[in-house]
Amino acid sequence: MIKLHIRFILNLFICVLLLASCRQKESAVSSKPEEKSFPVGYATGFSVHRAAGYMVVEVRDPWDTTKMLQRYVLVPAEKELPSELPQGVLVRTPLKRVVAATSVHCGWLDMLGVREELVGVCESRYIDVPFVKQGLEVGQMIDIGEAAAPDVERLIELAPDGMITSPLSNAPYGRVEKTGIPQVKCVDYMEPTPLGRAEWIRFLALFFDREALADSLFAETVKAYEEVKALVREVKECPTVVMEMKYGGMWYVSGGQSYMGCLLRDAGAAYCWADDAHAGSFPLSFEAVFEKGGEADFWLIKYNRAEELGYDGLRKEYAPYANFEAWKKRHIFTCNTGVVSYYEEVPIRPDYLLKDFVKIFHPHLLPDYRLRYYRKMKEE
Amino acid sequence: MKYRIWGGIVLLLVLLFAANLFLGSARIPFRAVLGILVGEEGEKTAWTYIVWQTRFPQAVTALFSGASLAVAGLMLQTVFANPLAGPSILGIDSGASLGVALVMLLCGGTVGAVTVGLTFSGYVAVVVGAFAGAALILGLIIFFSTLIRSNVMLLIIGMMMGYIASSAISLLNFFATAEGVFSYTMWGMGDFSGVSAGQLPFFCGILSVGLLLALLLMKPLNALLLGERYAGNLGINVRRVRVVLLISTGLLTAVTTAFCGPIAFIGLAVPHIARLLLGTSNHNFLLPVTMLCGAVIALLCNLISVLPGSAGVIPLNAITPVLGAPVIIYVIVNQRKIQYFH
Amino acid sequence: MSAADLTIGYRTGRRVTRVHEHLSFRLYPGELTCLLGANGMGKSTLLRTLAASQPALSGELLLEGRPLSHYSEKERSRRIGMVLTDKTQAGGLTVYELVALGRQPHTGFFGRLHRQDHVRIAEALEAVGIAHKAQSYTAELSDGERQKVMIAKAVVQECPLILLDEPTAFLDVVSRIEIMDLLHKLAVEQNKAILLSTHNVEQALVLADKLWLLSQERGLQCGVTEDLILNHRMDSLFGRPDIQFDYAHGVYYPIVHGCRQIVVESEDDTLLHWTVNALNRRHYACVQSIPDNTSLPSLRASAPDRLLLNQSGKTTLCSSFEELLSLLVN
Repeated sequence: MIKLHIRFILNLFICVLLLASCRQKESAVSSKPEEKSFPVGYATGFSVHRAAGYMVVEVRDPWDTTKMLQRYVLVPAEKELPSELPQGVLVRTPLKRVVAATSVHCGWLDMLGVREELVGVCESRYIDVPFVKQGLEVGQMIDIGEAAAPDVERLIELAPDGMITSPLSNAPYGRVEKTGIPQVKCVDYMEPTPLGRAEWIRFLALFFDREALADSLFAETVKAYEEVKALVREVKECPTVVMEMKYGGMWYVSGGQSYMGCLLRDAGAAYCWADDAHAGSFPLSFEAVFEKGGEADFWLIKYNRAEELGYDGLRKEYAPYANFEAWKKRHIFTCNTGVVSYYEEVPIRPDYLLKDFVKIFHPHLLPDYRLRYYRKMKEE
Repeated sequence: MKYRIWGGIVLLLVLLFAANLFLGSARIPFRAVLGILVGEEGEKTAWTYIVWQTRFPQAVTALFSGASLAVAGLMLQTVFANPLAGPSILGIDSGASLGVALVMLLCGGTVGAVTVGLTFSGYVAVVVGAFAGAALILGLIIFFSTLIRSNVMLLIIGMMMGYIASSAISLLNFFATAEGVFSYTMWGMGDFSGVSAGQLPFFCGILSVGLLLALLLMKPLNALLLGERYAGNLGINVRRVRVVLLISTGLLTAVTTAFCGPIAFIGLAVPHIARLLLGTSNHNFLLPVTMLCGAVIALLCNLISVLPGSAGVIPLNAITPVLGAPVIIYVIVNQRKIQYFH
Repeated sequence: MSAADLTIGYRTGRRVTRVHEHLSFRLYPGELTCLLGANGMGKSTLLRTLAASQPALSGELLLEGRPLSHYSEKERSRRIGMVLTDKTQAGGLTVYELVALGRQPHTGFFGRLHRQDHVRIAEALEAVGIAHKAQSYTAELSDGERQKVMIAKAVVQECPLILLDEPTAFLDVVSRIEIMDLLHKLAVEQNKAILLSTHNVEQALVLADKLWLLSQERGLQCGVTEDLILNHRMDSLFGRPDIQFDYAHGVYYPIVHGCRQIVVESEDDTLLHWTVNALNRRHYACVQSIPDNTSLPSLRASAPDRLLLNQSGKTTLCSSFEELLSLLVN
């Protein structure tokens, strides 16, 4: 028991040390002496200030980092409303009835043990989380339509006290905003680092009074991640990697400072675009990708199709693919996201994906590990 | 005078074709490309591969696609006596897209990856599907043209049919996965890189058939400038000409759309460019020049799309309207002064 | 061309509209024939049937002894030429190119022109008098010039029969006369049979060798111009009681319902005609002198500037029609 505590504190300490060397610290301390700080180690998209009787959570606008996307003022339901509250969306915690717009967040709710509170979801056909499937079957939760355009009437009928959304830059949830239902805007997908994204579970937990649980889950994640990362520290040879495929005339390539770029670096790979400055992905022509990545040691492809993709199929799709070294040497690994729970698990457990990568690039470091998402591409 | 124009266009064509081989997203030195073209082994095998396996097929695709779409547009404009007719406006390429989408759905796979798991007979299936879709819409347009006198109304009907075809495709996409939708969206942006070196003979072969049919129609098209009654009086079997035209236009539009996605504006604007350049509506000159101009414009657009180099790629359908729309606007505004409008 | 018991009309779906039935006629080379008739009488339908653009409903239509329907398109294109009022897209073609299109029935697959073709085109351009504009765009021509170009095109087709649908519509008087003259010349000099429909009655009566009168009651009446006129066929052409044909002057004019009468005398026929014209316009019916009815006003016209008006007992000598008309009681 105590050991756990010590470990926990130790890990927090490591976090604090690490963040001093790589990421900007985002824990603002207010002038009031009673406030406790809430250190947010990895995520750059949200910050938390505690005050007497309430908590202020600010979500930064990831598309214009000088602006704020939303400020939430969280007041526990059983306490009285303090007389002076800062401006922001008032939320009485914990939320009792929520609607989740994406399957990723359904997964997080599951981890936080927030199950009965979920009364509605969007696009239920894409959600694979068991308790959601069950809930839909028994009618405990309903599908309110497309995430981009939910059925507002049904939403109002449900009378939730919060909706968890993933807003896109130029598609404000206009109609939903007008209903007055507080939107918990999770822009976790805009985080450029894996641990940063995973930390958003702590953000979500604040709304359900599950801070402690989230903190410990996150700490576990951080620990696991760092452990795997530590394995590759001694590695001398970093194999080169190229990712994904072209669609139409464009091949979307993740930038060097993007989520994927960071993950690959942590996995001990030399991503072909490691020195690129983009924090997201950008389109290139086949030629440009071939020039830089044609000789890469490994090629990782994610796709979502009914049939599995094989070497032959890849060549038939576009003959020049067969000229990649990785194709010729049979070093391609694929992940069919329709079959494995990639998008449900990876945001919250980037260490799983990191392990897969390390296993692929440096198999001797994880001899007993079996690949979870990727597998060797089959012949045809 | 006319021969100077010919010479100029052919020269431009050769230059742009060469430019498409020498310039691209990857920076390959001029000397290296030259060496690769004459058969030397390049410094990097990647370069040899890029020049012969991606740039060359892309340039040839652009050349043939541009010529085909331009000629299809010219024929439609003459037959419907409508200077604003074109394969995209009349909804013909939407019909072709629908044909492709249906074939892809039936054969499994996603729309947009034309050759997913396809053998030679697979390509043929896709092209047949595209042709059927294009011919269907074209046939409907011809049918409506017998009922409706007004040119503008016919254009609007064409647009309506294009919308119907597009909505049918959207419905099909509804059943597709997110990736399928994404794939289709990307395909809709148009690109000339979809034809690999191995598919090139098939692609160029079929388009050549369509282009040849068009050349055979030069004389009837000239007669049709006078209207159907005069044309009939001059000995043209208007019905037969219509059928040949349907086959030719359908083929040209269907194959380019199936392999390159729907490309807007080339069919609409290039015939006008050719007419303004030549100063005549005489198809004996106009048709070949339209072909060449179409090829030139397509090669130019292809070049522009790779201009950003390692920073990215501009989708084709973002470039063609920028070149094509001003031409159309110019023609409409200067209607009075332009001879062939009367 | 000849026809016997021809019925012309058109089919729309199930409905069959018979425009005219039991028509019989002949067209001969070397003659200019004018088709006259009111609007909507079926002139265009008849022309279209003759040109094989529209099938006849029943009856026999022969061209040079063979039924028209037995001719192939190519053969027809070398026998029948047409000039219509259709709008074309040919504005971007030069005059030369447009006329050259008329050679299509005689040229090969790609329509390439040989020396013989160029000779014919030059001749046709000369014949219609538009050679000086050979390199201009047809969009730049006046209406009259454009008609000449279309006629040149028909000439270049080298057809023994040419059909024209209202070739002089929209033309001014000078152009009208020019065109009609040209057509007559072509018919005679090149030994062609030319049939044209027109509203230009005056010119038609002068220049047409034969007239075809198409009317609702009488159907088609064919004959030499003077025969038809002097057999009083012109009256019934329009079938309207208030329109009459002036046999002396060859024009149609509206019948005057005079509310007043006036006695008119003159030795000069021309002066008499125009005096009556002016008086009719004022709704005065003109009668010749009746000695016993002296209450009527009378007018004696000796010269255009000597008009003696006797009205209500007063006699005035007018020196112009203007003066005369201002004095007339309305």
